[in-house]
Amino acid sequence: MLKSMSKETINTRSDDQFCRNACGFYGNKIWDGFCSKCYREVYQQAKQIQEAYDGKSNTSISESNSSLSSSTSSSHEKRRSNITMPNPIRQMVHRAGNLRSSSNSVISALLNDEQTIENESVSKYLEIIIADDARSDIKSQVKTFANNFHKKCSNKNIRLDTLIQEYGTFTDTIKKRIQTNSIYREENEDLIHRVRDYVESIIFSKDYVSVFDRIAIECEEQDLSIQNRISSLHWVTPTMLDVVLNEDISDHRETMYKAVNALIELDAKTTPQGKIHSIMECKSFIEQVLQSTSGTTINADCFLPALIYVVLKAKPPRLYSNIQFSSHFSQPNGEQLYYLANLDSAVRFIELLQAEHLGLSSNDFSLYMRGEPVLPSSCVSLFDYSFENNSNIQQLRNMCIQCDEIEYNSQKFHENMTDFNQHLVQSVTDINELFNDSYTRFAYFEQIPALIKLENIDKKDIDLLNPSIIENKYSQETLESKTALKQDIEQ
Amino acid sequence: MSRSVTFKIVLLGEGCVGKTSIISCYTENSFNNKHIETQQASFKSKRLTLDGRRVDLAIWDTAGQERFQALGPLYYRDANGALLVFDITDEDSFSRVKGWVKQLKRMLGDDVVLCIVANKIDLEKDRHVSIQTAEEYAQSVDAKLYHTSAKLNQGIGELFNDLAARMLQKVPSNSNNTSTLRPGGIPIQPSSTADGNDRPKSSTCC
Repeated sequence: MLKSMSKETINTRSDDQFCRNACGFYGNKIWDGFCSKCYREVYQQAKQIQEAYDGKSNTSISESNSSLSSSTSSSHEKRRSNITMPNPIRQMVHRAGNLRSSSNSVISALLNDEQTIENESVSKYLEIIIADDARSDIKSQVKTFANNFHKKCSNKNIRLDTLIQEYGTFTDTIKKRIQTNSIYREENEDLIHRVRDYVESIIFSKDYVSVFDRIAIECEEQDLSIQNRISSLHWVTPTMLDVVLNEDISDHRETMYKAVNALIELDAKTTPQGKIHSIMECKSFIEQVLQSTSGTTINADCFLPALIYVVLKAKPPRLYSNIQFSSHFSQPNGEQLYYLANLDSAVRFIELLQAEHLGLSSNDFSLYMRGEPVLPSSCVSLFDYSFENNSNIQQLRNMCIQCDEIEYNSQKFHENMTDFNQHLVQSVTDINELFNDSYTRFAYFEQIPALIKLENIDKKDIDLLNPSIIENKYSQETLESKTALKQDIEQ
Repeated sequence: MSRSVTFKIVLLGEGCVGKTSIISCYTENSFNNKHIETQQASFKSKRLTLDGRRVDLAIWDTAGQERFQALGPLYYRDANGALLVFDITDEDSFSRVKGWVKQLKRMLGDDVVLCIVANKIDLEKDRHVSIQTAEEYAQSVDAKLYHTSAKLNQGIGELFNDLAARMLQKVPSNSNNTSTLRPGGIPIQPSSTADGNDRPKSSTCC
């Protein structure tokens, strides 16, 4: 639910993220925008032709390929085996590189004139530098490194490790230079951060794609597995994670969307600081929600579960690669590092997640994972047939007994009423006779009007008193309902 | 620009032992609180001066729930100090401290300064973990025991000052330790970490 609503506002590069074949996997520029599988299929033919064409030169190609996709400790062994047994995937990666270089030049032509980017960045980040020589020093330092780094990025034979190391060394030296060189003496303490942002904007405006793609290739498996893992855990609720969150309150829901969005945008940011910024944005939205729900101070005990929930809802694309990129290339301050570690541990938690972590039985957990409906434990008692049904039958029985009693009593009442009726008629007749007697004996007596006219009683009042009519109606109904009830019980 | 040393401190302890109170008590009270919009105590930094050296403390709170136990190593990599908090009225919280100490020792060896914090000493009458037991345990693992009450703000400042001093002793005074907070990188494979970390890498799932 969270996701569908948030889609409108997200600014992801969804077009180039997914495989051009629309197979649902992520594409990669290295593979011409296809995912690894589709790339293999689409270029199968081309590959065969190429193979036939290359013929004997296979060995040299595979050798250069192996160093590109390596960075595993066993790369030496692989290289050896590659000479005899060329790996088709590697070859394709290599060929994709060739294909790409042509498209790359178009992209860069579209993207920028390097000079304008540099000028913009200078005015944005380096304006505060007081001394001119300090500014030009940084500019020249960064420029030399950027050109160097760019060459290395374009060279497929240079491994990711080397790039990370180079970048790390450069940022360290420039930091040291700022701290020790006398031309920076007068500058603001903030300068280090400014320079960091400047370096990032220069370097990654050019080389983000090639650097990130190296990581994405290396982490493709992890990216996919975490993606699938999150999809299979879509049913996790805040309560299961003990997150204090009321999604019914629209304000809270909105803020949660924002947190989710910030996390999804992580992939769209093209500088390390941009990515870190997304994480921090997500963090402050989460804190905002937690603050308004719980009202207490937010600590790790309540933050981490909430972050895990947001990650599950956001299903951020290429999450693993993004975390790797951020941790290798960004220079976070203490707080940013902390939240990066939190995001990493949220991912780790999702990977390791088991039934008991959510307070579920392993049975329920596997039902959820298979997508079968599971009753929340709190509702199970509502549907507990054995217990509730027993008392229902008992109740039915009691009602039947009561019905019998009513029937019996009403019959008695009927009899009594008939008796009373007869008695009454009898006594009225008696009295009337008595009167008539007296009138005849004492003729001068003024005749008292008859108090009760027997004819009237017979016709109206007695009828009214006679319960048999009403009673009959009732007994008919009760009998019917009684037999129905009895049938129910028998069933 | 003057040099400063940055230390990373992790805070471990079961829920309800008073981790949050200790952090907020330390970072807010002593400097007559400047108001922060969102009250969070999961990450705090604190700057202090010790023997003429500027010390930056980065205090990392960790989630204490049992289910997050396996994530611990992600938090205390490269930590210089660890505060292991337990509640003196709750024996379980003390036995969990023992578990963390083991994990920390395995991860960080002797590089880390351990502080075992007996919190809630204002509830002395309900004490379930005797001073002697705690003291003996602390000595056996080469840690120092502190008695605090976050509620009454007792012993908190001393705890952090002492911890900072002990961490400073471990660092040669002329080295510039700002690189402590350089990201060690969350390694893709152990071999790919840029800055060679010669600490024994233990598996993260324990």
